[in-house]
Amino acid sequence: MVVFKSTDLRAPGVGSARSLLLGWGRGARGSSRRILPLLAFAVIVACETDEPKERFTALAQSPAPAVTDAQLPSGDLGADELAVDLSPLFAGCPTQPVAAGDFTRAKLLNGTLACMRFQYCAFVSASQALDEAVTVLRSTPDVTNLASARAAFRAAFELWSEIETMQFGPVAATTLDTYFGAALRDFVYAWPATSRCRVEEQLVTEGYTQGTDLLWVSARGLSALDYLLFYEGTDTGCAPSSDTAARFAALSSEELALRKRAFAQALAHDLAQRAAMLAAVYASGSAFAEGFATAGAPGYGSEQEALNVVAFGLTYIDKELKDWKLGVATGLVLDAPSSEFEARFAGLSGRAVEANLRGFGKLYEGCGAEGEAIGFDDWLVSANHSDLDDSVQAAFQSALTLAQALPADLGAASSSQLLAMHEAVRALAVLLKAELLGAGSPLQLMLPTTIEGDTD
Amino acid sequence: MYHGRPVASLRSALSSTWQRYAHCARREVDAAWLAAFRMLFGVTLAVSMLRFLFYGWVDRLYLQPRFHFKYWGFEFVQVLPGPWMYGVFWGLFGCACCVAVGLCYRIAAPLLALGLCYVQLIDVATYLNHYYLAALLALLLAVAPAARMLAVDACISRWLFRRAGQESVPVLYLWIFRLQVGVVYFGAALAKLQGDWLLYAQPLRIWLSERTDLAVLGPLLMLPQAPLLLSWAGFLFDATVVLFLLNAKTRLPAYCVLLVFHTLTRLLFPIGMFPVIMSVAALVFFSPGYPRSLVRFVGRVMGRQENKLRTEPAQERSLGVHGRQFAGFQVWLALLSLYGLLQVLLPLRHLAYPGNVLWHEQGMRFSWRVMVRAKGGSTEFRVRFADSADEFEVAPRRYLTPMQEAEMAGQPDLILQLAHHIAKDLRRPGQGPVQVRALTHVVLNGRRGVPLIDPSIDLSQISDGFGRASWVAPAPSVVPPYTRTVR
Repeated sequence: MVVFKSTDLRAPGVGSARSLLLGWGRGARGSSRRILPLLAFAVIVACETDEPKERFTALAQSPAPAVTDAQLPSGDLGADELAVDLSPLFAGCPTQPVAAGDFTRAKLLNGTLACMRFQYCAFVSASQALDEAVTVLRSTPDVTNLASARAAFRAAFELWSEIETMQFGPVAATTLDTYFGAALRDFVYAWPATSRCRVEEQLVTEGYTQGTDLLWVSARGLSALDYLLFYEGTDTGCAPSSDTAARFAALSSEELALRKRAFAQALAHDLAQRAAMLAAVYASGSAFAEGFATAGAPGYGSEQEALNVVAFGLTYIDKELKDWKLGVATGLVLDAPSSEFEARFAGLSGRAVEANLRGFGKLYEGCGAEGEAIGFDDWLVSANHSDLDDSVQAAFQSALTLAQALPADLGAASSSQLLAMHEAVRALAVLLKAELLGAGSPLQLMLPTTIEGDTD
Repeated sequence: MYHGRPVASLRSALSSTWQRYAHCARREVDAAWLAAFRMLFGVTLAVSMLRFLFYGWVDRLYLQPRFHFKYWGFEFVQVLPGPWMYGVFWGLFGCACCVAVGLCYRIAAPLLALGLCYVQLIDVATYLNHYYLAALLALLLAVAPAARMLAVDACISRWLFRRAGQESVPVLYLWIFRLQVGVVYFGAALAKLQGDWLLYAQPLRIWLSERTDLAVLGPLLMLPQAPLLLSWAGFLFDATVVLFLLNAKTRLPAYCVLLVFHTLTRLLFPIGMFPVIMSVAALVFFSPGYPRSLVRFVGRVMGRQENKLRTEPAQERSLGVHGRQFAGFQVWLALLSLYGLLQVLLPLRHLAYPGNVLWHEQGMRFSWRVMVRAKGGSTEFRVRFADSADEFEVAPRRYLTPMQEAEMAGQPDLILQLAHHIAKDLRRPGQGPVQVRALTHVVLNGRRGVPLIDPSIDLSQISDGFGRASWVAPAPSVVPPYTRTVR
């Protein structure tokens, strides 16, 4: 079991006087809530804090080079072949959550936790399957094993795309969860902070042979595996004048393929370990799970506050899905942090949209089959706001139906499809942001960033 | 000549009334109330400044935002660089401490008032009624002779000049403080005098549903009648507490009720220092010599006969009504009277605008409309360049922090300000104007969301002003729904 300590990184007052005097660093209250999930994780997070900003700036200034058709893997698969049956991955998992009696906040908290366990259990299976498939591919590199590894990647990617909307606790960024957020999500999937060049740097230097702990988040996880398993070109995404580009060009195609498989194996193994660690964080009996379910100090302080944080994760639908993914695809948004589609080499950006919506549904409706189990919808109905629930459900179903009709790769979708998809997600996002969450929420689901401030 | 006599007699009557008014205002009363208020208010503000510093609010509210919403006429007020902003708050903390102990009062009190005004004026999104009240009370303290007793300055003066300090102040100051505090309560009552609050117990019904986990109160809040009962209790309290405080017989029980009320509000809502400020401010309704009575009472309870604070109240007296000093006093009286009149009229200005003030927000600020709306929403800007038929989407987060975005969502003038900023920001030399529309979806007191602003209007062409904002869509006409409290 992973011990998830809620110990403060530093005692109040220690090292904070300077920041208070001159405004350096965070306020003492914010820093006192930082936690130490795993020492190694924390060190790496600290090392990589600036990278997403750097990436954002770079991408905002110059769009990343597009992948041409010639660079895509040969023998592109059809939609049916891309379809992944995820049900076997849930087979060994605990019983799917079910509803039990009248709604209470405590039940919703426990239901949410059960949902997380259920999802992470499947993701652990998927990442282990990916690890095994990539290991086999490395030892026996042939078309069949490559196809198996790619299929395992698709399954893991889809499952993670469902989890993407469930960001609370250590997996979430500190901006989403000011209490326990440790951005551990980035170790699994750092999009939009991805960088092909960072991955290629590793291929050149073979730094991964020394271990994966100190890798940049943009050079690891699912986004790096997307490149390593699916991109068959021998060109580089690094600046032509760079040392990396020169050294990359000097690699023979055989050597490059060999290194890609080796790096992929290291990353897949790391991913499986990270997945197991994350699953342990939410597992029954872990310190976080106990603190979350009881929702007392030194955790979130109250049930309502814990639910505020969970609900705030749903804003993924507004920012990441509507603006950064669909906004870029439609050309409606000018300033997303990445102009690249997700999993662009595997061509799964359309599937990711659908999986994100499925994940939203699981958190909103409950993780049981057909939306069974306790969710925010039950809360709205109990609070006599079923009309809002009806609107959210209708918007969700409409968006999900459109997403299911999207091609696996958003790049293959027609303009009208994308615009309709964007509009459908917008309708859902508006309901979430304006009515379910925020100062006007009938459930008092306040945005966590506003909680620490005074009001009147 | 025909009209000469009535005009002359009117002038004479006015002059005589003014003289009587000035004479009454000049009457000196015990300065103990003002000294006590100065000390308690100083301590409260010092704590308040520490909260800003220790909770990281200086960063979050002032330094992190890339864009600040400006008050009309105060666009020149800019946020200072990081260390300087921290310096301002540490300075305010120091000034508040000096005010509390009465040290260098004539410098510290105006600096405190100016600093609070500066902080208040940096960003409209940070507006809170109690920060505004704190700034007003600090302004009044800055002009009041509050360091005549129980102050380090007074001790130094006594030691240097070997003479007893003056321990009385003109009653004018008592009036203006009482008026200021009274206006807050009456304004709050006026804000509650509407259907959402009195008939549907909204937004209290929504807010209380969050606090059902409280140890003793929680189960009581689960009762369906609790929100309506508390809504009426809140309204009646705000509407009557000043009257009861003004009456000597009911003053003490009224103040006890006031303390219970503000303690409850602190327990139930995240309203920071507001309950403390109001509990301190309401002390001005006690008789001017109440600190002496309190000290005498405590001394008696403790079995002490003497105390450093002279327990006999200062003699009330009338000063002369002639001479240069009195002329100066009259100027002061006129200014403070104008200030008082302004404070009375400001909360009523919403009457000049048709519609629901909670929706269009014209006349909302500076009106003590405390905790009367649960309003939130989403805003998205659509931008069209003059040389293009395409429209682009601009999310407010491009410019705002989540807190600012949440504040802006329900306030039309802030949406307009950001629309203007977007138009300016995206405009490029040689290109035509940038059109900016706002797609808004706003909820008020539990109702379903509707647009706050007409989405067809190009906001870059709209100017903000005191006229009716016709670009704001009508308020929803449905009544607020019944929100059931859930455990």
